[in-house]
Amino acid sequence: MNTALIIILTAVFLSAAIGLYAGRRLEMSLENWTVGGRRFGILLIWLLMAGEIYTTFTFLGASGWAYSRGAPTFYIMIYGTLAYAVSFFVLPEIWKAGRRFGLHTQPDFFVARYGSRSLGVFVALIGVISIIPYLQLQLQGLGLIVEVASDGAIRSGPAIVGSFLLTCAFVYTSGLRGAAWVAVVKDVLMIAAVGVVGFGVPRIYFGGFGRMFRTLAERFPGHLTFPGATTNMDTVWVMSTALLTGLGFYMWPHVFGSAFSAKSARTIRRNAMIMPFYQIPILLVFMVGFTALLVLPGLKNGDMAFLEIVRRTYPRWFMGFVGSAGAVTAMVPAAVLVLFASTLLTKNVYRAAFAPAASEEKILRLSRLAVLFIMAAALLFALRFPNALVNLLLIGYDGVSQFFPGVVLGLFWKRTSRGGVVAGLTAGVVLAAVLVFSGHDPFLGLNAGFVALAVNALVAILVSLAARSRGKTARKGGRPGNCKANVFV
Amino acid sequence: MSKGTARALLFGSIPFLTLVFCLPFVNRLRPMILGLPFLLFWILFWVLMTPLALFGADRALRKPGDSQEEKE
Repeated sequence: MNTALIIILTAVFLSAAIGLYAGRRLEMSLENWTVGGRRFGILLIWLLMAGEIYTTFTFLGASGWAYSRGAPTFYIMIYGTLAYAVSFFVLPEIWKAGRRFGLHTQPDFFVARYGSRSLGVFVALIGVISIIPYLQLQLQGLGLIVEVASDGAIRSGPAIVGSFLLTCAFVYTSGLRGAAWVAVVKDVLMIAAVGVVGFGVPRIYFGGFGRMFRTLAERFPGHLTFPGATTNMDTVWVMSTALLTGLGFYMWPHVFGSAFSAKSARTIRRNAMIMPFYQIPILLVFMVGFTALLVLPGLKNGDMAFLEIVRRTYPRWFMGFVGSAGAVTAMVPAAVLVLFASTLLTKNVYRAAFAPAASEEKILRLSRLAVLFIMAAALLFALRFPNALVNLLLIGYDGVSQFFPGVVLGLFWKRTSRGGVVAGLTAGVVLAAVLVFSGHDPFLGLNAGFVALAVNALVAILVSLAARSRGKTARKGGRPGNCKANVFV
Repeated sequence: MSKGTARALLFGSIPFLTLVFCLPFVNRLRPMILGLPFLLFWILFWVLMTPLALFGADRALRKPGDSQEEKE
């Protein structure tokens, strides 16, 4: 057994143990399992949200893009920051609605706001379909990291299956609280790893950032400004992609749902204010990718740049440390993703469509079982259809971002109607799918998902306006037809 | 919309203005600042200013009592 392997196994098992321990004294109800009993303070919320944002993508995708595409990778630093600004205004309102109506999930929100169970089912299905590639991405990233870091001692397949079982175990027992506590381990490991490598690698090869960037600018002119090494990711693409992903980020069902776990709206605001500092590690990850381009040009797979340069630069035990950080970094978001996907599937699809009388206890039981089912589906995809990392994520983003008009208009514009949201959502999802799968992304230089989002919002507004004027003549003096709840206004 | 809300939204729009709508004007390599290419420096700078902007937004929202009204 090599040292790297021991370090990885220790970190992974330790994390799982902490996750299991976190839920030990909790009496499990759906409320405790999915939203942590709505009792998380600023520290747990921060760790949890950082845990969701910092995924294996941070390690591999951001450095991979810096390596193979150059400046377009900067969108990653931008979109997170936009997302926090959006969350500052939108999330506290979502939280208030959640508190008032006892909401657990994103489809719950749509049902409460628009009074339509079938809209809830629709939203839940889009959510689950978007989550699966995201989950797959985590599993694949984990397999890759562990295989490289252990020098092939653990192959990717067994690594994925093993961590999948451990993650299922602590999600099953501890729910969201388990994930939040594992996030503590994850954050410490990841920041340490990224800090050491991000400052270290440019210094070791070039004596510092400045010399590294000057060398890069000489050898690859154009790499550090848009469109970098690409032909289709120019400034307009970066702008539209940053907007799409920035607006879409909190529309991920798992991130949206995590908002309900905060103990107050104020907690969420304060969290939004400190989150942007968390973008600094991403800058360091870029540095690693850029240095790798100079030191190890010509890698076939850019996503390997981070791991390859660490392997070349540092002793083996350190590789094990990076591997353990990478593995736990995949496990936390995987846990939250699978938790919310299974709740969506049982509460918002199964109960809403087939068994309206099912009790909360029964839903909790089924959700816990569905954890295994969803993990297995993602596992199957990860082993059978591996894909380039970032592309997967972008497809998921195109899907969930389409919830944005329904949520934000629903919160702040009284007139938003069910018909408008259904029409907008359908138009957005269909358009995004058509553009992406027919190879029209980017479309006229813009991110296809962004085009779809703009159409979606426009349709939602126009249809709502039309529905409203018809509704007025039909029932005079009544409240706006679908607006069941007025926390939303 | 109350005056506080409007001010808060103004603060909140700072990252959007600087990190999205200014990008066409800052897409350049030089001058390098603190060793960073200009584009990257610009992005980093405004990312780090965002907490300050949100702090301003928070102050604006909190001034008229602790509850803010969100009217159409």
